[in-house]
Amino acid sequence: MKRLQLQRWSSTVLSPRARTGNCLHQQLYTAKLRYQSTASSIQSESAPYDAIDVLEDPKLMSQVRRVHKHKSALAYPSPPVEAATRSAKLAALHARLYLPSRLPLQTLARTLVDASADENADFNNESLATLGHDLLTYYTTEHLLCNYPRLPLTVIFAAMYAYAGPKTLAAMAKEWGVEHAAMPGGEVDPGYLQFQRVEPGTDVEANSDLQSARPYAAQKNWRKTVTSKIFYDDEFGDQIKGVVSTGSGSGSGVTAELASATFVRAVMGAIYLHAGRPAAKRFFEQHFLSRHLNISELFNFSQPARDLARLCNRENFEPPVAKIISETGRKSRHPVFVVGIFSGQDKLGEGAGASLLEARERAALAALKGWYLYSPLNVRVPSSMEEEGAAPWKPVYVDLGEVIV
Amino acid sequence: MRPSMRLPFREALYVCSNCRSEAPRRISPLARQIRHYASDSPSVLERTRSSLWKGNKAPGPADPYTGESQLVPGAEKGEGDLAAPAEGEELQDGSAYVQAQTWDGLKRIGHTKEQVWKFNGRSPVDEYERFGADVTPKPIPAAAHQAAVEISLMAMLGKDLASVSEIGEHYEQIQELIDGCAVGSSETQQWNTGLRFPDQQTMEALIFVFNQVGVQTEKTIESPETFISQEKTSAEAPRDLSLADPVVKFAFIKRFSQLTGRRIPDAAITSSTTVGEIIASLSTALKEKPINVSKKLARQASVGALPPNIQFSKKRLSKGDEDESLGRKKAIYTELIRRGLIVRKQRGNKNRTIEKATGLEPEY
Repeated sequence: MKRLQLQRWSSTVLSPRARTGNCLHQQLYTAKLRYQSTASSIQSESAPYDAIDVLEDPKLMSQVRRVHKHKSALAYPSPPVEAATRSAKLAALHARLYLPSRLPLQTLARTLVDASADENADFNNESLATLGHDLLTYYTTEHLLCNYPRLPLTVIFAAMYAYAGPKTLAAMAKEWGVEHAAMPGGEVDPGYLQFQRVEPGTDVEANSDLQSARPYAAQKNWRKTVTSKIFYDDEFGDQIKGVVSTGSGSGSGVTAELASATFVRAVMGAIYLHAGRPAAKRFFEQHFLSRHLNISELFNFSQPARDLARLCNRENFEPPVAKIISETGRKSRHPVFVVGIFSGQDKLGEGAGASLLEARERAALAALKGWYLYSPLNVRVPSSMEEEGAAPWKPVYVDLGEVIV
Repeated sequence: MRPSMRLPFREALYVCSNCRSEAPRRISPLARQIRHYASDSPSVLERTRSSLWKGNKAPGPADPYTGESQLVPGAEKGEGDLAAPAEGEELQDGSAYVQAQTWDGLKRIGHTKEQVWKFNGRSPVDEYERFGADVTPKPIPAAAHQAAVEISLMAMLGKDLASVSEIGEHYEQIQELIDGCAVGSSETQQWNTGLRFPDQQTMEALIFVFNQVGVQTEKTIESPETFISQEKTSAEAPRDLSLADPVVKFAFIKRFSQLTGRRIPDAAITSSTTVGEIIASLSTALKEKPINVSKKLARQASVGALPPNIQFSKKRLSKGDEDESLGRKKAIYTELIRRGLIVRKQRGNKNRTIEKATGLEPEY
């Protein structure tokens, strides 16, 4: 595959604001030199490696090869394609995940090969993971936005991270029973997740250089607005980190968490490619949306009463008034006050507390959550229109947004 | 525990000084008894001993088992009699003396007569071979026919019937001759008259052969023409051949069991009175061989009939196989070789290319 050389003027076309923070763009426009040179394409078409980094010495290599059962496979960085049909682990994983039969075992084996194990793009899961990541974030985003149209942005970021973040994906891979190979190689059972591990003692955080397009990104102490995260940061509201230097030979590796997340994304991409969109959506609903996430716990208000007042003001409600609904033991050691917040005749929320202030705060909190967690009935997501014979699209509810104090 | 509490004081071979000093204070009941009797009468031990031995010739008071006390003065007897010769004395006796380097050929001492058999080692005589091991098992009808013919022949010759079993397997030509003979059903329960030969030549040959079995005889048959039948003979023994005679029964069953290679149940032996009943008792199916699971699974795996999530290996998987499937075997071996903990074996020994040798420099 030959890629166009980007001219200097193209940087204005590809201004940071014009691109989304998706995985594909990260792959293409950040430090990925090998895609921009013709040399890399030749490399990807050439035969697999002659030797493994560990065994540079040919004498040593021949001696090590002698003790192996799969001698010929030792020359490759990842298991050969025909090994996939022999692996019991792979077949078991395929059955366990209830994957469509149209997804062959060979592709499933490929999703288990990280780019750090085999840098040849024809054999690793990088392309599948890129597709899977974009599908995952798209489906998650539309689910959140359509079901909870009034959520504040920070909560959306947190919910996105909880649904499709790397930690969640790694946990899923563990729940699926995917084990990690100790070292990648051709003789490894293709049912193991293969990746080059990080050298012990490496600072994982320091290793990743920031590739953010945000101006003054180096200033750590400067305040970053939530709105700016939509433009400059990734789908979880985190800073875009440089693509981990995969496949640059010895020394580089990825964490097990990252490799597991990449694998899950690659499975998603593989299902989409082989079994089509309906199967991918079904897989997403069965494995991702089925995970219970209590969104109401993601809120963190500092001054709920003030926020509620501003909200009522914006929505032209009557100003909220806190009233005691009931109380008990005011002069005792453990008094309980039940306070309701009323806007005119409508009760917005109710809360109980040991003091009047606490009860009022809780009532305001309940009122705010009631507002933000509004969920319309019979929601349809935009991707449902891709199905054949779908009903005409009815626009979903779009909210003004959160209250800005 | 003090010895004085276990043994009568007088009987103890050795009493330590502590117990000796303690002894007067503890007077044992035995000692009290001894004191009770008059001094000239025999002691209680003496009387007990004489009553046990039933006579006056009781052995003396000395313990016949433990020997004499070490404390008895003059126990070291015959000093100088058995004294070892001075060193180098033997060597001076004969110049032909050669000092032994190993114990091969040296005289063995300190073993019983029975152990000589053990020292001589295993000989061909010691090998055990089960009954009928030298005979290729035959199908039941053929074995019954052959046994019937052979026993009839022995009965004709008037020889010991059970000695047929000494033959084992016949030569091919004789076997053909036996197969050509037939035994008629013996209503008269006479085995020596039922045999029919196809021709004179066969009869003479078989009689010559069977005269050699067991005790050699030179018996000939009178009126041989009665035993020759030109009819087409059947290859099966008649089922109503009588086994009423226990001698015939024993000989037949022994030979039959030898030829078929099967053990005949005792119940069948006791209950059957004809050859047919013996054959019927063997018609039950043999016990099926247990299924070899590994072979069956290997066959299924080779065909691809195993479910895909089952991996089958004929050999037990070792830790090394697990290491290989996890990909760490190459790292382990690389490090072992680098540290010189595995050295390649010299060429020529193809069976073991790698051997462990610690503390050596690696050589490739």
